[in-house]
Amino acid sequence: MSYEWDFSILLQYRELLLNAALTTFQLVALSVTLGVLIGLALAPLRMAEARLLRYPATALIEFIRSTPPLVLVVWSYYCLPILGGLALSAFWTCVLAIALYSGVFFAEIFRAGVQAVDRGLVEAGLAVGMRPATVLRRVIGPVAFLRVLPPFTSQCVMAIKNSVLGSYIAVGEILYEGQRLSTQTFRPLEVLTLVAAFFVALILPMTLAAGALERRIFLRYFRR
Amino acid sequence: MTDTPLLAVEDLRKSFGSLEVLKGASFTVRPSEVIGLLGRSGSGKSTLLRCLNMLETPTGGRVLLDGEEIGFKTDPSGRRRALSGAEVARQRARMSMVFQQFNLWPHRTALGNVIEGPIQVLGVPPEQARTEGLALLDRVGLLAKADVHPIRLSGGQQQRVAIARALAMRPKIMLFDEPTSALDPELVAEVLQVMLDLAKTGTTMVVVTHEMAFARDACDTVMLLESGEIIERGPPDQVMSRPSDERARQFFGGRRPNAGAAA
Ligand SMILES: Nc1ncnc2c1ncn2[C@@H]1O[C@H](COP(=O)(O)OP(=O)(O)OP(=O)(O)O)[C@@H](O)[C@H]1O
Ligand SMILES: [Mg+2]
Repeated sequence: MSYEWDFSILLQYRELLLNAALTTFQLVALSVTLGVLIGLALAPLRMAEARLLRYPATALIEFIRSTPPLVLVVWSYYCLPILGGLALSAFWTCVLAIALYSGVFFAEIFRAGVQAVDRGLVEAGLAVGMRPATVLRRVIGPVAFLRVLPPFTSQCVMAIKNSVLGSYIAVGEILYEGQRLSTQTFRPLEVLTLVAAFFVALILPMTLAAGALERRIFLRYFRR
Repeated sequence: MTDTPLLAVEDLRKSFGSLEVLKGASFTVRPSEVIGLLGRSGSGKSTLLRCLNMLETPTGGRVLLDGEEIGFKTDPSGRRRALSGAEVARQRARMSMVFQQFNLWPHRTALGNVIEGPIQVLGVPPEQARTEGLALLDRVGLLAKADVHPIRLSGGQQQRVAIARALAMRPKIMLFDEPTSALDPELVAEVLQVMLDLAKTGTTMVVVTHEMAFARDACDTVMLLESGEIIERGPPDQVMSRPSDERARQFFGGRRPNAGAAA
């Protein structure tokens, strides 16, 4: 191969690339935050005794889960304005779509976490005279949190990866700007390698830290 | 011991769907009395115990603690209604329960398990709760394990922490549901010893157990439950050696307490 690498191109366009990275960060932060809220709202509905609450929540979760996230992004971009007269920017459309997609997974993760809490631990709380809300706050919450942390991290990683779907509707995140730059400068190798490296640098430490944390939690609280 | 009952159970009934598990159990517990609840597996012992503190809602009958009905309220007009979760919680704080599976909270240390109820429910200041909690752990022989999480404790140690946790609420009455049944045989004695101490120091207890020697040595009264009915009751010696009911004779036939102390 006689390709001549020239990484100076990255320095030259560093401002544009930094801005794009910033957009990615914003996209991820907003969609994960919103997604967690959606998950926290959906999980109790999904677990509700009343079918009137449980069925719609389950249906929504199953529908969204069966949709490829790219379809969700593109659908939101073209259909939301028509259906709801909602004229959101591409950025906010993308935030919303990824938040919804992550949110239903968060809901399932939270539900599984809560339902995995041993009934006996709840009864022990009730037996010392805790109110149901106190049991939720002092027993179910913390125990579920420890169990939920690993799948929660994985889902956050998925949200980071899904943020590149914004490029399809021209959100100026890192992949979109990277692609534009690479065609403008005829330097795809440098630019796109940087884009890939950016995600590895972001995600790899996260998964490593989460793995270590998971082992620690397991050893400290749950191993028998 | 006085004769005013601390706990009065009147015609307690419980059905799960069409399955009638409790068919009208009545008994009283006097202050400082230790009652042993015996019976075959499936006879309804756990259900009876759990109806006392409303972990199961009875389908009939009443439970009175110090004259106050547990779980229900009858207003002046005579209408009976179920109490709210908060109201039942307040009542449960006066009775403690020790479970077969210990049910210690895994995210709290031994001491953390003991002081959680006093701080969260009784509003005891944390420093005072710690001091009292350490004293209770000392009482069950686990002062050295105060800062250890439950998974680092043996089954016997976990159950002793659970007993300390129950004691920390300064309950009027303690309910035990087969506290040694999940333990390896060599760990049973240390738990029974703690319970024997409690019995001797005037703690009011209702104990579901299969430990015949413990029932004989620690209990003032034993009751035999059979298919949701109390078919035999009285002082342990009398009930165990001269049961009047044929089913009771069968039950005790295979379960003579060994000679010697329970622990
Ligand atoms: N939540 C429930 N739903 C339906 N049936 C139940 C429930 N809890 C208990 N039962 C049934 O009630 C009967 C009595 O159960 P219980 O647990 O009170 O017996 P037990 O005397 O404590 O037995 P063991 O010695 O095995 O603990 C059993 O037939 C059991 O299957
Ligand atoms: Mg039982």
